[in-house]
Amino acid sequence: MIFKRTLIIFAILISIFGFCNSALAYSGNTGDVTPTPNMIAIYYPETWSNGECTWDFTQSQWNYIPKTAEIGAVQLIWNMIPSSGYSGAHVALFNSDYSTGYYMPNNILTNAFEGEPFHQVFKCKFWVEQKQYPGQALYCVPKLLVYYDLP
Amino acid sequence: MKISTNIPFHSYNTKLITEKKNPNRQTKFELVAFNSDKGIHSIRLDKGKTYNLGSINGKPFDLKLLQNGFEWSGRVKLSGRPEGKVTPEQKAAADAFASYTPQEWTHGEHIGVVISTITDIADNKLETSYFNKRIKLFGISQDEIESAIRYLSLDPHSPFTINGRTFTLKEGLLDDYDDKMLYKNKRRG
Repeated sequence: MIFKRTLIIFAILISIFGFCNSALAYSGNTGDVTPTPNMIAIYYPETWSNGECTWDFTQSQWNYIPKTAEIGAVQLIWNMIPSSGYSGAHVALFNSDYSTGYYMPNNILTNAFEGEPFHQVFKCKFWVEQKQYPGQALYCVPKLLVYYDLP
Repeated sequence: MKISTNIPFHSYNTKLITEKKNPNRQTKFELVAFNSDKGIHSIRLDKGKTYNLGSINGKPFDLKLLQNGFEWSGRVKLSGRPEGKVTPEQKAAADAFASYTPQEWTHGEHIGVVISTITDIADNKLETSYFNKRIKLFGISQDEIESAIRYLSLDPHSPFTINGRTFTLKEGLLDDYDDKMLYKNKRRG
C-alpha cells in the first residue's frame, strides 16, 4: 500500500519550566528513593502532573493539527542546572500509555516515536545517579520539539 | 570529532553472515542476490529483525527495524510506567545510552534514519522524494548517507537493490534506478 506522505514540518516549541524541590523526592507522598545502586528516581511536584513533566497534545489548542498527524521526529532540550547538586542525569520520554519510551539526549533530533499519533500525551521523567547535596533544590528546564507528518 | 566506524566487510559473493551471541538478539544480515549481468548488489531488510552493522568507535552498533522507525544499541525501547524503583531493564538501557558520546549517538541515529527510510521507500510505504526531505530535516551529511549504505555492505557509488527495488545515490540524493540508463551506457561503451 502506497502512502502519499507529505512531510509537513512544524516545530512545536513548548517550554515548561520546572522548579522541583528535591526534598519532595524523599517524602512518602511523592515516591521513594530507588534502592538500585547509583540511580535515584525523582518524583516531581503535582504541578508536573502526577510527578512527571507532560505535554498534552489532546488539548483543544492542538485541534488545528489534523487528527491523522503522526510523529516524524522529536527533540528534547533539557538541562539539569549543576548547582542543583545532582549529576549523572538520565532523561526519558514516554508515550501516553508508557508502551514506548526512550532515554533522550539533550538537544539532538531523534527518530524516536516515529509513526505514533501526534495527538497524545507525552511524558518526561528524570533520573539522576548522584545527589551531592541532600535537600538542595533541583531546577529543570525541558523543552520538547515535535515534527509531525501527515500521511 | 571523527567517528571511527568498523563496518564488517561482506564479500559480495558471500551469502550469509549470522551471529547469535544472545538468544534475544537475532543478528542476521543476508546478501540475497547478485545480478552479475547488471552488476547490482541486492539485499533484503526485514522489519522486526536486528542487524549487526559493526561498531561505532568500538561500541556495538546493532539496528532493529520496527514497523515504524527503528531502535539501535544506543536507543533501546523502555516500556512500562516508571515507578519508584529503577528496574534492571531501565538501568541497562541507561548504561547503554550513556556509553555513547553525543557525536557517536548522533552518528548512530543518522545511520538508522537513512537505513530505515530507504527500507520504507523500498517497501513502497514512502515516496522516494521523502528520503531527501528527511535527510535535510535531520541534517544528515552526504558522507553519513554513503556510510549508511556501506554499513549494509553495498557500494554507495553504484546502483543497489534493497527489497527488490533498485536505487542510485548521486551527491547524497536518493533516486530510483533507471534500467534504461544502464543499457544506454552499455551501448555507448
